[in-house]
Amino acid sequence: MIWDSLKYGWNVNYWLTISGIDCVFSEASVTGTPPDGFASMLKSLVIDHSAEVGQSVDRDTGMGQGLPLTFSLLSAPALAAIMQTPTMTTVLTQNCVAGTPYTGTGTLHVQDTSAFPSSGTLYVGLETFTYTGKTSITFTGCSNALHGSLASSHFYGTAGGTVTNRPRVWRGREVRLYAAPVSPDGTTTGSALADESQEVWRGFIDQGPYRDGSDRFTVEALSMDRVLANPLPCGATGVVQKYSSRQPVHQDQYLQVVIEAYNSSNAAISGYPLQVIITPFDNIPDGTLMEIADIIATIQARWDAALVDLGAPAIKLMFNTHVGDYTYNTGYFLYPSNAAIDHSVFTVVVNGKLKVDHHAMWWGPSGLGFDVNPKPIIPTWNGGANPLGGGATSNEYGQWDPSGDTGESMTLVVELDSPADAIPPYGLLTVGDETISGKATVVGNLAYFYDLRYLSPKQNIAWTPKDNAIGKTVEYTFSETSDYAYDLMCRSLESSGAGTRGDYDYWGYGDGYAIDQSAIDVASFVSGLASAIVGLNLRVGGSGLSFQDMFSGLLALVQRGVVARPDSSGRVRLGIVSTDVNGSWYKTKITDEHLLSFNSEPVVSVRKRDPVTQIKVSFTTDAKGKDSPTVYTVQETSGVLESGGQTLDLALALNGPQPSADWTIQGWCATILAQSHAVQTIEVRVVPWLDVNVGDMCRLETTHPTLWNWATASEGFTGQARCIGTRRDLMGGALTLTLVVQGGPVVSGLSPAARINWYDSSSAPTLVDIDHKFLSYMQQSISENAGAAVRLMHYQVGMGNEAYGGYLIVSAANSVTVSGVDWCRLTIASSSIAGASLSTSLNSTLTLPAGAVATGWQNMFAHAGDGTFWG
Amino acid sequence: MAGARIESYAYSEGPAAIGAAAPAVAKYQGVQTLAVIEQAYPSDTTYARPAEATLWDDLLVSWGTSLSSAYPMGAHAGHYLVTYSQTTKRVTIASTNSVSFRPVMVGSGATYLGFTQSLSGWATSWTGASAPLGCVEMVGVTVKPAEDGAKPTMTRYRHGRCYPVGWGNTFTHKVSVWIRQADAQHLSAGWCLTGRVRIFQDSAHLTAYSPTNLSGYVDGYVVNATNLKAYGATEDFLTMDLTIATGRAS
Repeated sequence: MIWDSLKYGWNVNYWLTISGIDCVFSEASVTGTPPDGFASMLKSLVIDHSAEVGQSVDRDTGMGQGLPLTFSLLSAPALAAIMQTPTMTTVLTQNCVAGTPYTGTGTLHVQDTSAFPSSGTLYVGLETFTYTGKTSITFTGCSNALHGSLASSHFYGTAGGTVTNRPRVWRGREVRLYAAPVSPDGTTTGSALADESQEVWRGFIDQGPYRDGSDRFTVEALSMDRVLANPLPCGATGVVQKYSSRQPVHQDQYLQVVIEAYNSSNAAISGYPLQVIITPFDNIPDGTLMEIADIIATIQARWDAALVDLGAPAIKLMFNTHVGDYTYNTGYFLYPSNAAIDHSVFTVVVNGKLKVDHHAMWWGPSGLGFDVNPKPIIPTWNGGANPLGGGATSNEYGQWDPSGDTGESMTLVVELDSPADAIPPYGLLTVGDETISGKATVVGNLAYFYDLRYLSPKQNIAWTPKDNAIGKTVEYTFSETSDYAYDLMCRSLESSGAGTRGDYDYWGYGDGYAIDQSAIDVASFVSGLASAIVGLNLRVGGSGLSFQDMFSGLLALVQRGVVARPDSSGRVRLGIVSTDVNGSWYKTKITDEHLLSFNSEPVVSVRKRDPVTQIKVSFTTDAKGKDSPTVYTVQETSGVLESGGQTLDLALALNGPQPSADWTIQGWCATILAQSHAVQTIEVRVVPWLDVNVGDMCRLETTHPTLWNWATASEGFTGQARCIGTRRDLMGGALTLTLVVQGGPVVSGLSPAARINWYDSSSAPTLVDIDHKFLSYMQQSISENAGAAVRLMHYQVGMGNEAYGGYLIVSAANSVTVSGVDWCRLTIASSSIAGASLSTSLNSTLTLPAGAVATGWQNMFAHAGDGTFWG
Repeated sequence: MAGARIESYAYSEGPAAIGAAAPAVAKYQGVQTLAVIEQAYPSDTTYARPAEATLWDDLLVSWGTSLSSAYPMGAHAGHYLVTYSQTTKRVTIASTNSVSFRPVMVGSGATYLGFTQSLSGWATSWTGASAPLGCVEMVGVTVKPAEDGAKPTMTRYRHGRCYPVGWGNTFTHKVSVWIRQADAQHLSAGWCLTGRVRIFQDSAHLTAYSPTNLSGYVDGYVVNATNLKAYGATEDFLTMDLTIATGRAS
């Protein structure tokens, strides 16, 4: 750990990168090579004037509140080339849609390249490109996503489509601050700068760079987790122009009709087969929602034109299309007079959602004005059963149904206020004061919203406007539902519309924060939320909502938080942490020797807030509160009566009524209420090398008089403490930790229950795999037990307490299965306690024992939230 | 009296390495890794490194032991001893069984030991070209009794911005060191003036200072270094006051 070396006279040199800028800014000259993606280094960074940096999490919202970073860059010739207004500008003429980054193979289509050199660097939004050639209207040989910038979508016709030769946009660029070790004699170590560095802070430029004094530029940046309070853009806004039945048409839809004719000897008759193929919508923007009459007219026109091309034989054949429940004449087929025809084969081929109804196919002339009466066409299918449904005998050949399964759809035609860069294919639509769900497609500045349905309680019923919708304002944004909170959260963080940010980049452009997965501790989301939130069908999405709007209520309820913090990967990443005062084991022990007494008391009590005695949970189904939220109140009645207390308001967005939600939420609320009276927050100033991060459970053992042991009436505190905030002084590295502790004098952690995933023998196991998250816990159990075997009890749900045997474990190690999943592998000593029979199907679980067999280490853990032990 | 001396601690977090095992260069490498190449096996480099921060004296012994046991199967035959002479102020790396070898200095280990960075040729014994920076000989030292350091006064020094670390549960010793002007550069190099150091009032006296052992060493963390003064007609001597924090338990 880099901070550990400070004990021995080492120091740190800070350096940082700004995404899209090809320079590493460092405090001191360093010898290591720059990190990947950067070629140059500049000694110009001044970090001394920054306030402490760090992270904290608000337990009432579950949202990280990282501290900002202010830094300066000293003037230097190399910096002057960056701090300059663009001198060359052009604009995109085609969209540049994010995809897999390209290296020397891309092309940017622009209005005019004449002002630019034959090769160089381009800046579009926050993304940096290089090019190696150009035509008058293209940059060729492009590489993108350079110098830490991310491949992003850029749209022509918008401000974001501006292409310049120098950075035009600074706000929003990512700043990553690292600390590199420096030995006491001032030597930097490692051959590459990144090798031995540790990321300290990560965020985005908020202000600057601006000139600050006579020799520097100053930049103010906000922590990465602060961006989660920013509302996501509204997908589209506009005004309703029309409300009518429409159906989407596609350019690749076609209709093919073939007539083969044979004489009585089954020989093909000259002039046959006759064939017509039309693609009636091939010159209409794909997905256009057309009114039925327009569809008919379009098909009619193409059909007529095709017949003319065929040479206009003599006999007309009526051809009808069916749209929904309606039948429209769309054309006729000319069937030549030929008495030799004995029988025919009539083949209709369609694709896509087209279906052809042939039962109304006529052959003239009877009643239709034709003067020749050929033998009837025998509508047989060439090659077996009617592929379109129906049977040959009934002449049921299916329907031409452009909208597919759902028939025609009432559609809102909305003139958009501004061209939509992208629009989610389905989402939430607010029309006036109504919020409904719907699907969307955009053509030019018109958006077509269809498949419009009410939300709860009339969920899935087709929506009809309660009054004239024309002229009403419309807001549209995406919507998604899921039972898995971690899935929704990761999608919200990663989604960019391009699918390139990571495994959860599913949603459209503007529907998520487009954060690269490398900045997200996905495993923590899965492990931290998958088991904590079960059975809630969540809905997210809504106009102008932020991640905080969508998820903070849920996070607060389950006592979790999203925070950007340095983790074991050496990077600062967004992850899920626990804010629960109770925890299963501690990562770090904080004792008197860690307290730092420079300039202030090392331990400070933070004033307790009024205890929460009432929690109001609002259920909304559109996440906007416009859908008459249902309020669920859990309260400690006596507390409200006696002390007035405090109400905690939380909002949940659910996808309709949840029959099981009440009980689930009641349990969460009860936990918060039970803890509320006893929770105490303290700040502890400690040495730089203490390995504690937000969310970590610590063991606090201090005699400091700021804390009081109520049980023994003496100074100090011994017990578990949850870290909910860290602040690091960049100058000296000192840490200030914000800890929450149970107010009781001695607090035990909860003993973890490790479910068994695999074993080599059910009756006499020597190896057992449990979840990887228990690895550190088990290793420390053995370590604290002076390397002696640690006894674990075995139980299965419903079996009761420790009457079912257990094991002595002698080691715990990382185990990687063939599927690449990490597990904690326990080695069982031969002196296992008889009686246990392991079973994964019965959820065999291991936990520390209680009572007389427990060691001092084990006594720090309890088996119930109230701190009691078994027995 | 064997003389007063400040010894540094060389930071290391391992991994401990004996032999040619990777990683050859540790994280935060600089002084804690020493390597040799034997003439009989010129393509093999043998590394030695402690697994944790180690005091100067112990580090030298540790290197010798580790290098000697690097190849216990006998493929490489050298047995080594790394010693420091308080008289000559030089470090010597020698083979005790006449195996020709060449030391390899890793990072700033060269100046830490007083060797030049790149060495060539073969010999059975190598002595540094200058005094090492890992320890500094002093003319004398005075140690005042420990004070309760619950609130040590800390000031910024060194690197222009670093607050030295000290913490509540400490005693502090006010230590005045006397050094020769010629040794000043060694002290100011940093290794013996920052972080954890051990200050011997008498380098032959190997027990810690206490009220009943007033000539013992002080082992702790440099909290403060102030009041640098020169003495003598030709300013041959310098003094400096150090504040050393030691744990209450020690």
